[in-house]
Amino acid sequence: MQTKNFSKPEHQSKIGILFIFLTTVYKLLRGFWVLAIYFIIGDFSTGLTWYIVPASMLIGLAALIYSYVDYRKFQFHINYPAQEFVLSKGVFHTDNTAIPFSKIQQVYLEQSILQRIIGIKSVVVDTAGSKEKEIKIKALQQEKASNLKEILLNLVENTEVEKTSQTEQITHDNKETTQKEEEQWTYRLSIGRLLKIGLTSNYLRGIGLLFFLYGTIQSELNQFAVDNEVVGDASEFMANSTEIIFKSALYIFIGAVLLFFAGLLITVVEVFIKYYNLKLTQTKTSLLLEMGLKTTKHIALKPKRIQLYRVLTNPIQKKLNLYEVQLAIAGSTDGLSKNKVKIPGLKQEFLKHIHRFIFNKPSEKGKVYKPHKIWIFRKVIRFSVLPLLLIIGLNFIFGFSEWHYILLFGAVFLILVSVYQYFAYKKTYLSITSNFIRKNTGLWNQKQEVAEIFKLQGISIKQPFWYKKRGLVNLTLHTAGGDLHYRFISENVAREINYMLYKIETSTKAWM
Amino acid sequence: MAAVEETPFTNPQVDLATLPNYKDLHFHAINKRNLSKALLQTGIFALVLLTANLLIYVFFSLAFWFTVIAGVSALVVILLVTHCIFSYKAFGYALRGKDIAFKHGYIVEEITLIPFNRIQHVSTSRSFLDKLFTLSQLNIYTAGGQGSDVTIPGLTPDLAKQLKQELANKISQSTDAD
Repeated sequence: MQTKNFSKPEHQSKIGILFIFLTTVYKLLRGFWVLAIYFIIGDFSTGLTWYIVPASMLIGLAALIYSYVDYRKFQFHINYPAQEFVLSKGVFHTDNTAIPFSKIQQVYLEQSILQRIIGIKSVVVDTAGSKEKEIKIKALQQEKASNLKEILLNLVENTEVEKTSQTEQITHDNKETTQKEEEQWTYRLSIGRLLKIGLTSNYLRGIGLLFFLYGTIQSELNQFAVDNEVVGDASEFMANSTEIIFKSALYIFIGAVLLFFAGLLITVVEVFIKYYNLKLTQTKTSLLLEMGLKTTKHIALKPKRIQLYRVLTNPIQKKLNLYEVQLAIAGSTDGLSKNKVKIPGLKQEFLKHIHRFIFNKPSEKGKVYKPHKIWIFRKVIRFSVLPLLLIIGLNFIFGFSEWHYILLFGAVFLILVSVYQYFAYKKTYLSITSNFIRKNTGLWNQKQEVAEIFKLQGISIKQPFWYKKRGLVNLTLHTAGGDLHYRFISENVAREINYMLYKIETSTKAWM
Repeated sequence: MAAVEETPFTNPQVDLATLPNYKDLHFHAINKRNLSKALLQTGIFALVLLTANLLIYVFFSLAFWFTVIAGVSALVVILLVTHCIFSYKAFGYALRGKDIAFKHGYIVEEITLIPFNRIQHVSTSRSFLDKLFTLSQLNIYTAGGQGSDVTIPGLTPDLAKQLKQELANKISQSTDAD
């Protein structure tokens, strides 16, 4: 079987030059499609054609040379002593990448139609992180491709052995604690609760629909009014107009109510289709989720893979004891279209179960950081400037109202927004405990996000120069399931940043 | 692992004040040739602007508008040059025993800290202009999305290679220690 072990730098298959050439030509055509169309449907009798033919031939030749150089420059090999896969490529912009075996998540083959025709395959080497970071060797003949894939997978598995022995250790620990506490449970979402979710989750959609259709109705009505004016004579129209206005107001009102209910209905139907028969079970090692009306989705969640835990609710849902949990998962290899799993309609006591199962630690108290008060100012500006400008602008253009009404309306609006944001500010804080970071936001749409410190991938601290005087920073914590942003917090958070780094760097647990 | 079970369980309290502070980091500047590279790019852009201005001057007799356009062009070039200088000065990187820090931006200063045991892989890359100035970039990839990936520009090729090797060693060390 050991035909080759790829220990020396190698090129792709020679036939690959054709593939590179065709993709290059395709890219050129896409870039200069106007010229290409001109060339295809253009008038061939003009003299210009005689320039275009040799010019495109020259470009074709250049593309061919480029493809050859690209082929020559593209080299890959396995560096056995350093335990990494090495790849260098690029004609003008050169790249030199090394991926340690231990970081390779998956190796698989891919074949596009063009590749099938030419008889080559792509070998894709996937690491944790977003799709763009994977590495592709696009032009290998079938045999070589599967050969490389096998060898790489073997190497990855061999390095994985150490890892798994250790994760077994961890899950073993888990087992002990779960056996002690008898934590296995199942949660089923009843139809009544499903209905409640539908009615309380996306009512804004109804209002959005309303605004959209209100616009169209109004323009229709305007049309109607204009027609009337043309047909009827002036006095008749005056007499009719109050009636028309009254009638149309009634219609609009009825329409609005209907639309609101239509919005609700759509949401309810959607919720039923997505979450019908939702069942959440905790086994010894994972959370099992089942849901869906037409096709039942099955998802198994291992606590180790979960990077970010999010709880969403609003005051109405809180009253009904409805909480939505979202779990962000690392890696693109799960086969999930989005790396986010939503579990709606949970009761509060189950939140505790899930929290305990995922983190295996009780939630703890920690140091609380609140954003600086300018947070309120910024939010007020963000939510009021645009609507106010719009109203003033519309009034300026159409002149349909007196200025002091507008001023009054603007002032009331501004006060309402400020009051709302003031209370929203009170609900916004970040707390850093010895193992977790927690972010709470939102007055109406309340959100709590929790991540384990040792699972963080990196930390960014941003400071615009106008923050310096106040001693503020914006903090971003990068997890493999998304970022957590905190704005306007005191520079003193540096202590916590040092602690978090210490925590990550001394951690020996596998983060996924 | 056996070693873990043998050592008695200890859990000493961490004194936050004694932890190494990222604010005490001394950032290394990047190579000065990166400024030359940025200035050359600006120079090429300025040349394009100049040609456009000349064409306007020659083909259209718009005396007033020409002065406006020329003035704006000059201002843009001056701003770009100052931008080049400031952003060059803002770049910095620092290595510690267990992590790497990268700093950039002068209007908004951003420091990104990446622990070695969270790096996925490292690469070096060189654009056409980089080759002209014998420069190279170091790219550090993590699993934390684009925000935590770092590209350090303006390194000499040797240094970039050396850093890459160094980081590769650190990555494998941290996985061995796992």
